[in-house]
Amino acid sequence: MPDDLVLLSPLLIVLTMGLVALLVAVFTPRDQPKGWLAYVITAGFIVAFAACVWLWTKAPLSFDLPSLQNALVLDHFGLALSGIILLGASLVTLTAVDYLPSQKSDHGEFYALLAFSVLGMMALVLAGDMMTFFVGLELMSISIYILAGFKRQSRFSVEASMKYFILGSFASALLLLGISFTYGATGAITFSGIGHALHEMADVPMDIAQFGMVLLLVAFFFKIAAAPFHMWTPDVYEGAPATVTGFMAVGVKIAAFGGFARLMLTCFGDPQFRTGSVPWETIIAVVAVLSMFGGNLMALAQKNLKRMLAYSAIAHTGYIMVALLATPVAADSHLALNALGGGMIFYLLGYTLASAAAFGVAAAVSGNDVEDVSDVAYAGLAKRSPGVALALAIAMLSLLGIPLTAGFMGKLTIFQEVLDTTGNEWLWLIIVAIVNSIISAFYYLRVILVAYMRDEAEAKPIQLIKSRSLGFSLAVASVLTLFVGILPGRAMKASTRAGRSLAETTVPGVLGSAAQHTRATTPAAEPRVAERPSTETPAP
Amino acid sequence: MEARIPHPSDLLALIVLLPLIGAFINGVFGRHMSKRAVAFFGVGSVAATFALSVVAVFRLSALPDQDFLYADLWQWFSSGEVTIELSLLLDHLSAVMLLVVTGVGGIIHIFSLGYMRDDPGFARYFSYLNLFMFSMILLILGKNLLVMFIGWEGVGLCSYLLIGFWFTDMQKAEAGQKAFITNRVGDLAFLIGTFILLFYSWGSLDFVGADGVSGLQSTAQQLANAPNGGVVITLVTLLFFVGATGKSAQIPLYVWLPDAMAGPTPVSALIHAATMVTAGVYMMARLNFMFALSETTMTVVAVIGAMTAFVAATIALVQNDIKKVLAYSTVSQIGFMVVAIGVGSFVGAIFHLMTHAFFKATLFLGSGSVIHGLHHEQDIRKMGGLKKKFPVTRWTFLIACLAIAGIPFFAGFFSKDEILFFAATAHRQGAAPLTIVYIIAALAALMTAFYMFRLYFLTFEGTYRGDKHTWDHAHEEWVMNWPLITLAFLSTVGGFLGLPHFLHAHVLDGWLEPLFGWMYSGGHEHALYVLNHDMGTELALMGVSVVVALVGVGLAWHLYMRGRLPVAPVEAGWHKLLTNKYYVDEFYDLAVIRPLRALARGLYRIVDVKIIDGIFVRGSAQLVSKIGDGLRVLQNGDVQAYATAIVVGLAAVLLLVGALK
Repeated sequence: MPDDLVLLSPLLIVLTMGLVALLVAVFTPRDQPKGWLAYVITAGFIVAFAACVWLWTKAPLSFDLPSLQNALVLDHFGLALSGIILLGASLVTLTAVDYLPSQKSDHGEFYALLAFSVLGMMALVLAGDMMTFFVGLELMSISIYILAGFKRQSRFSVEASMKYFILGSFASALLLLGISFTYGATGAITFSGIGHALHEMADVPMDIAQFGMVLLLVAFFFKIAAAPFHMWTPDVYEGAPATVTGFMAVGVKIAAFGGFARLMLTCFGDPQFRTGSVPWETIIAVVAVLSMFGGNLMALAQKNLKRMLAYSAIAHTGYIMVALLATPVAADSHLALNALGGGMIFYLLGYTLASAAAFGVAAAVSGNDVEDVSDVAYAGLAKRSPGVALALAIAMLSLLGIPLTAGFMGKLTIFQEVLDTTGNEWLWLIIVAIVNSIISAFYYLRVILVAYMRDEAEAKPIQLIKSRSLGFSLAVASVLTLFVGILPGRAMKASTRAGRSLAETTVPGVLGSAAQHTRATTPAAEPRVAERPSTETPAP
Repeated sequence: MEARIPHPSDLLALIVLLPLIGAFINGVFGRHMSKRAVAFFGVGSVAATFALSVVAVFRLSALPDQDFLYADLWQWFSSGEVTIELSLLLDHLSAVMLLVVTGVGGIIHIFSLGYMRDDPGFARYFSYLNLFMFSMILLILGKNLLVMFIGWEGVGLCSYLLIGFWFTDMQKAEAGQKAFITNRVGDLAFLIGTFILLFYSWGSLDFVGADGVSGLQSTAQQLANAPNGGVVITLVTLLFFVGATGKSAQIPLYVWLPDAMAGPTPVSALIHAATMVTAGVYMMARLNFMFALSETTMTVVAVIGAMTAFVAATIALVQNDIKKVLAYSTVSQIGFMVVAIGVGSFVGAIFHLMTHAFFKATLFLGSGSVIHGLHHEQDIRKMGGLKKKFPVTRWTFLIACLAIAGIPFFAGFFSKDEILFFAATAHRQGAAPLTIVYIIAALAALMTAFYMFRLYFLTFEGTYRGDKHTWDHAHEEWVMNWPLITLAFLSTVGGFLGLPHFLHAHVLDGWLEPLFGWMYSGGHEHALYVLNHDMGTELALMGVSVVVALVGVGLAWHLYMRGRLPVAPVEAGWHKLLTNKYYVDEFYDLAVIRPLRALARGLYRIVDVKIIDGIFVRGSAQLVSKIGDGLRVLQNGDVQAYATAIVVGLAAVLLLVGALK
């Protein structure tokens, strides 16, 4: 068993990088370019990523961290999500190198804040108790409040920052209230402690626990931008610098989904909360439907790329929430492969890659302080810069979910897993999701149409940033999108394994009984011609 | 069923990948490389693949008979019960195919060096050719139906690219399209068959499972024992057979192959004689454990094969384009292979596939040598007496003609005889031999001997009928002669791998026994196919074959060497019908293409323009954007309003909780 410090190495590396960037920023003259810091930070992210991979290969299922009183849970689930966060953060950081100077905001603190925010995200997905959870969430959020207003001379940017800050504080208040109620009801602060208390149901005032759960859910909905708690999203996405918006889209969403999925399943994984008298699954389903329709319908009317992507992000929140309804099955049957994580984590990976590319393009066409990323900003992009246009097209197709892209495999996996593990209970929801995917075709394909079919506006030529690092980031994101879409095998295997680790490290018995509950209601598969021949391959 | 033990071998991956690497290098960098470098990567990759194939087959032959080599490259995806692995399989059947394809393919690559030397698309040509080899090897080595299907589609694509290689010529580009679209029909049937199997096989499409027992083979057995399973087997195998008629140019989908002669001649030799067109036959042999179980399918296969062999042979009688004769001859010869499958002689099918690859490649390359030497003249009415200018080509061509005509001791004699012998004597348990198939096939063999020697006499014997300038410049080249000599040698000795059964020295039969032996085992009472290895019968049938071949050759000699028939007879009556290929193309145009076009036009005008564009697309877009505009009012940019929305949302969730309680 490695030393605790070694186990924490991904977090420590990111922390060190943030501190280094902060110090360097202080001691470097104001007028010197800071782009090289981006490479330093990216290198740090990559080392941290490597550390995650290394821990993944070492991890039995989850490392115990007795010295930290289980404040952190280092399991495959958290490591996988940390890895995706670091990947997305690296891609986004590279887009900032030449973007920030073009916006006259080239300050070294940007990279320090980016690193601290990533640290918060990783703490969030690895959190094992409410305190770590809250600290991680706030570290992430506060850094991003500042980043959103990083273009100080821009009214929009500052406004976005303020709005996000005020509403975010409001959500944090609700979250703290939820934590207090839950603590009051159960007397426990660790997730597993709460889960045990609620599972045993000894002397627990259920009403209070349920009220706490609802408050936590609402805070969750705010952070992932689910309707009707999404109103801040378009304004903030549009106003914040494109790079920051990209970072919010890829980072905050993964972290919030990861952290809250663990919280909900560990604390409230008991059937009486999932499917019983006050089922959070039903609440999630309702909010998912609202988010899908709200996001997609509003996105149709948008002419601004960033604002459109904001609404599309809301719609994607809806699709990913569907994954939370897949029943994680701990028992070692072939159904276990279809545990929650497979769908959610795989989808998040695809979404991260596509969003990083999309916002990368938005940053690329925002040269010379262009505020407005509407049609004219990128009309005829294919002729001006075929590579950037291709990256945009691949990103849009992946977000839309066209086969051979990661987005398609992600949607397919979520839908299939939910159907596989719950029978036809949520069939209606999946039909809603598919209808919504079709609606989304209108606005995603429109972007490609504008980039490829329209001519560049003579009055307002495209302001393209020339940037090698940005091009590199786009290329990596596009290639990975196609790679994961065409050969999903490995990524799928890793994400199902991560999902299974979450199912197995939650409170013993809680999910197992949930699984039995669902399996009893699922009709047995019809016998076909004969028994299935044993094709089980040995576990890797 | 005996367990077959799998042995991992990374060699297989290399065999598949080398041509792909060659295709990549020539395709991406070829334009900037010298021809010498292009030739090095193009020919070298295939030569290396052939060498590795020989090594792999040696390794295989050292194993016990039932065992096989495999390579799991990676898991493509796993979704629920369906797991698709990208994996390769080398067993005794794929070994034969692999050697034939890489060997003959390699020789044709060398021949191409001379044939395409002055073509501006030299690098592009070799890149396509290598890509074709890659797809074909993938098709052969695929361990499951999906990998095979990737190769199957790949060769389809490459044949499209290669047939339309000179795409600036509209006619040639259209020939490429015709091949592609006709093949699509078959591919669709293949795919439907695969999906049906996927349903019954619990998600595994492996020909043979990881444990050597499971896989499609056991699926077939389970189906055979299940109620109504026989219907499923018949349906699936018929679908796969439709797939085979596309790729292997059988009735009714054979029409693309003659047009496909538009491509460069070495391409015709590679794709349309030796490799791709035999893919259908190979696929049916691969699925022998399923085809053999359905008597209906087997009968259909035999009858279609015999009809194709016969019809194509009649058309070949009157063609005047040297490549067209060979094209119809190919269709006819593959008909023989399909007959072999249909009458249960899977060994015969593979045997004839192999010898056909040798002699047909010789014929195509020989015609290529002539065409190249005569400045792209293909009309045999303008040839004659070419033996003076093309001595090597003439001798190799003659040997190949003797082989295809079935003259004793040349390769084609043994393989064709084996098929005819089976058709005449072998029969399913409780059924009679398909004598009618034998008679039709024998007639086709007679015509084969006739039209091949008509072609030979009109091309190489007699006096020259073209213009003088061309004659003066006519020449052959050594870079093209060596491949011809090698292939002619193989056409001479290739048949000794399958000597008649009464000699008990049928090497190929022994080699393929692990795969096909199960059909004949169990003695007279239990075997699926009852054989009659009676020396007298076999000798008698052999005698008939020899007479048939000699009559055909003699008739050609009588009519064309002694000048009994004019070289270009008046086109009337039967002759006109045959010259116009029974008007099948015209019939398809009238019966399929025009109605489809009319339907498409109608659908476009009514369904697409009015209903889809009008109502669905514009209507729904207007509807949703109206809703979007409505929702927009709520999004007014006011923080207080947003915070209120959150509070209202919270209240709503609490109400929902209360309602659910």
